Amino acid sequence: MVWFVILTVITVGLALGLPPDPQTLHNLHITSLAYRAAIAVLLIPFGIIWYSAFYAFAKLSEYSRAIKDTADGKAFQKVMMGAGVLAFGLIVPTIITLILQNIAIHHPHIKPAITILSNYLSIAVVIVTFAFIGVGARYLSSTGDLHRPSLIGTYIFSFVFIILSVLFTYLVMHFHVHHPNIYYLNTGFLLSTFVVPYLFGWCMALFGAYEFWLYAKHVKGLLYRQALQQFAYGITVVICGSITVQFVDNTIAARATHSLGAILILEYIMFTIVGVGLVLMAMGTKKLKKFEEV
Amino acid sequence: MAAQSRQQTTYRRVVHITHAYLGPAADRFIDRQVRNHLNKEPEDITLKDLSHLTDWIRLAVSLLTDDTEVVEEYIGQLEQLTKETRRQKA
Repeated sequence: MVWFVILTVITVGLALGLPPDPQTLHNLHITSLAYRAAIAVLLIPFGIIWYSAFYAFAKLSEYSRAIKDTADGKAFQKVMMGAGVLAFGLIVPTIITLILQNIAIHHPHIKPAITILSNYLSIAVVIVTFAFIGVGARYLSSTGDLHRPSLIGTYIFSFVFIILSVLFTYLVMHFHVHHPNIYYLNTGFLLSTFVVPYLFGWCMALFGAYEFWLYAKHVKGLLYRQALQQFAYGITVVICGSITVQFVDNTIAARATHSLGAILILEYIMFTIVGVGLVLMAMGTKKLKKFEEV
Repeated sequence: MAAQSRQQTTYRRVVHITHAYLGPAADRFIDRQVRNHLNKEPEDITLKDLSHLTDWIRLAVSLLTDDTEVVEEYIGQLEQLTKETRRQKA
């Protein structure tokens, strides 16, 4: 939790201390003061989410340490690492982006490079986070009796993922065609190094969530199952919420130029969902850890 | 050797019953109860220890859930095991 305090103080200092981009103020039709006020308001729910993420990470660290020499310990260690990357990945890229955006105000010619770097940084966080969670889910499911996903479950998963993929690709391409200087990548690079990695990360995450849910549904142990189900629901909500955040941030939100209020409300709703998931995850982990303490 | 095998069976049967409630945490839970409260190695528990162990388990599981029905069901199974083991020994 020390890291949470340090990184939050740095982020708040940078977000409120650095001068806003005049172009952004012009696009949103607001003054510098109003912009800072909006940022301050936005930082409150962000702070809560960051705290929830670091709290869930801390609980998972304690639990995975308590069971480190066991078969399920190996699985929870991977999930804990994923939660760690998620927690740090929520703040660190924000700090880097704030610094780079400030540099770009004085050196507009490097704005494309900064946008590309920020996008790739976000993709890296997504891939690493979801890869750890996916591997953890696989390890965990392999410790118990093997339960194949049901046919209807597989169909629903495939259907939802195809819809998500098509919609994301359509929106990215739509904004790319109509606003050439948004992603600063040509079509080939945009598809292969932006769209595909995001979709791959989301596929890993959704599959991991499904495996968690499947394991939690069938694992032996009435009380253990109750705690694990809470954890599995939590991680599923976090994954779905994170995907929604990434989806909106990379399509609609970044392109909205007129309605700051609408963006704020949308961000609040999405981050509330992620926050609820993180709290559920932490509560489930706390219950699981209790089994190792009494 | 036969006595050791019987003791091992008792421990394993306690773990087996516990597994239905605590799943993968069952072994660790029972090992901890035996080591911390009976000051023995888990495999060394005997029939004499079962009743004492059941009391500690009741206390510990009550801390894990508020569902008294589940606690009583679990403890009932451990008490049944104690009776069966006594009968077998007799």
